[in-house]
Amino acid sequence: MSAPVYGILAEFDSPHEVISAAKRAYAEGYRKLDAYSPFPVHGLSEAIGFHKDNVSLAVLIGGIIGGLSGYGLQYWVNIFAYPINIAGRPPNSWPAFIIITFELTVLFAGLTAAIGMLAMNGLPKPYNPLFNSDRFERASRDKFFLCIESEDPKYDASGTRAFMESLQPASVSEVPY
Amino acid sequence: MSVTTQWTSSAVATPEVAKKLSTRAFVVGLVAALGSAFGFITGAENFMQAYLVGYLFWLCVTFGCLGWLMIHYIAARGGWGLIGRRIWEAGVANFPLMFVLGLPILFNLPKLYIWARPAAVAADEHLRYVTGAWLSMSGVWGRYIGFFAIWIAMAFLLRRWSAEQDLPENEGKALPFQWVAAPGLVIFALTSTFLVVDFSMSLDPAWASSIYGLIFVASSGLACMALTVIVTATLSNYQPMATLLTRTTLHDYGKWCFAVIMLWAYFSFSQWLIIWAGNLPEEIGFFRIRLQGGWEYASLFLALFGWAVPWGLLLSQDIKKSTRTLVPIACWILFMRLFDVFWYVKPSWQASLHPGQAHLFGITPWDILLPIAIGGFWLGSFFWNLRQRPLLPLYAPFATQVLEGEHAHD
Repeated sequence: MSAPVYGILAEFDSPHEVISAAKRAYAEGYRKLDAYSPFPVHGLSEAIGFHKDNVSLAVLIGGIIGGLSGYGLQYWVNIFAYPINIAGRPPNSWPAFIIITFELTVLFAGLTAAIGMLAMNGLPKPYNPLFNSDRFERASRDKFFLCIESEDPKYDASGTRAFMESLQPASVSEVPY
Repeated sequence: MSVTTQWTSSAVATPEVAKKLSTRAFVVGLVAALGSAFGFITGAENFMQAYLVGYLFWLCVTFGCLGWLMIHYIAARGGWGLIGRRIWEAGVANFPLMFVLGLPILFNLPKLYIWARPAAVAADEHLRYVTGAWLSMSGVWGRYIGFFAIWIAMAFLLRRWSAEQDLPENEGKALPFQWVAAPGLVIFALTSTFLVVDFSMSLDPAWASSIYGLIFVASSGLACMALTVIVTATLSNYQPMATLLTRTTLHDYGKWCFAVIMLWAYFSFSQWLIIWAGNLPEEIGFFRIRLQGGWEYASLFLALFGWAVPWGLLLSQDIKKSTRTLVPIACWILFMRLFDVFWYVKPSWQASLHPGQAHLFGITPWDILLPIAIGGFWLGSFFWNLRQRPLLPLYAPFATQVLEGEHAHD
């Protein structure tokens, strides 16, 4: 056995080719695959079997917690900690509390969205073996890539390589770890 | 890209069903108008109040069409903007109709507005002041004619240039849409604000709110977007809308409904918070009459079902992506826009014309019939306009991209 392999990388010239290649790889049963393109390609994430994640649920929960803590903070201050008579209004004057409640809802939801997205993306990722491929840097310029990772249960070095070549890419290479 | 279909102008023609919908709407409008005519004989004041509510609601829908059409030319040339274009064009072509439908209000000003009653003006110093400065007969008529002239002119130019993009020889030709749309949005925000000040805010001439116009602008945008969802979803049972309305586009319209509901709620809440916090005698009356006599439940209903419930439902991505769920919500949003106009008009009208009485929440049959009557004529004319042109300008930029989408139905 040679050095450990991250996956097989195929290079395509157009977004259309990488979508149809991704669809065929998915239909073949590969699940640990990823696609790389210089710009968002409509339909590509669906083609590699992108699934709905739980970020939106996390954002909802984050927002609710934010709203409750915003209102709760003001309630605690005005009812228990430092009650003060403002223009004869009742201590729990809800209209005055809405702005802070709204702002904290947005803040918590926004932070949960950013942190949740990073966590579920597996980011930040200081080392990505894909950059061991000397062709891969063109993924940020004019080429489209599909990578089947060696973690995939269906992966076998020669079979996967043969499958990738059958997709007629511009090049196929093995990405070392 | 994939297989490029050769699209012809007959393939993007508005389906025959638009004609049927137009006839049906006219019939409903006529029946409702005849039914409500009885109300004008028995009680002209109540009739005119209901007429004002119905008129302002459908004027908001027309305003919304103009606003979204201009936003399309500045910020959203492809996608949802291009698919909505012909619908909004059919809406702005109703400005002449709205001009005619507004005339009964101008001929019956004393039935609606305290400032149009000479005896009341003579007895009240503040009324003498406002009628001298702004709310004079000639001022209201002049602004009405001037504003409609501006809106009709903008609608005419945008529609005329748009029709050129149905012709193959104009493919790639630069048309000056943005020269009307960019300044037009500013002009439109100002003129529509002044019109609702004349028609709605002046019901209570002693009260003023600087965000009033913006609330109606947000309401207009929301009403029009809800109508866009309903019309595109209805037409998506037929070609070419079945191809044009993708899940992505429907999702975009749903997102707009979500965002503009929030905007409306934000403006409305700001108005309430500032007046509540200030608690000044000349301002707080607006909310006092809306927080007693049954109106408090109407106010609560507006906050809960005008904002909280539809907004909460629209949080979900799946609900925004399916016509089955989005269309009922859009219908509800449209109904709540009507209720919002009712909430603005009726209590102020009651309190200013009959001071010193208890102003109870109540709905007359005309409050229901007249919005349907005006809506019948509006929609009848709308579908007739829609039928005059293809549903998509085939030689507009991005038209080919829009034609190559995935399907909206699930």
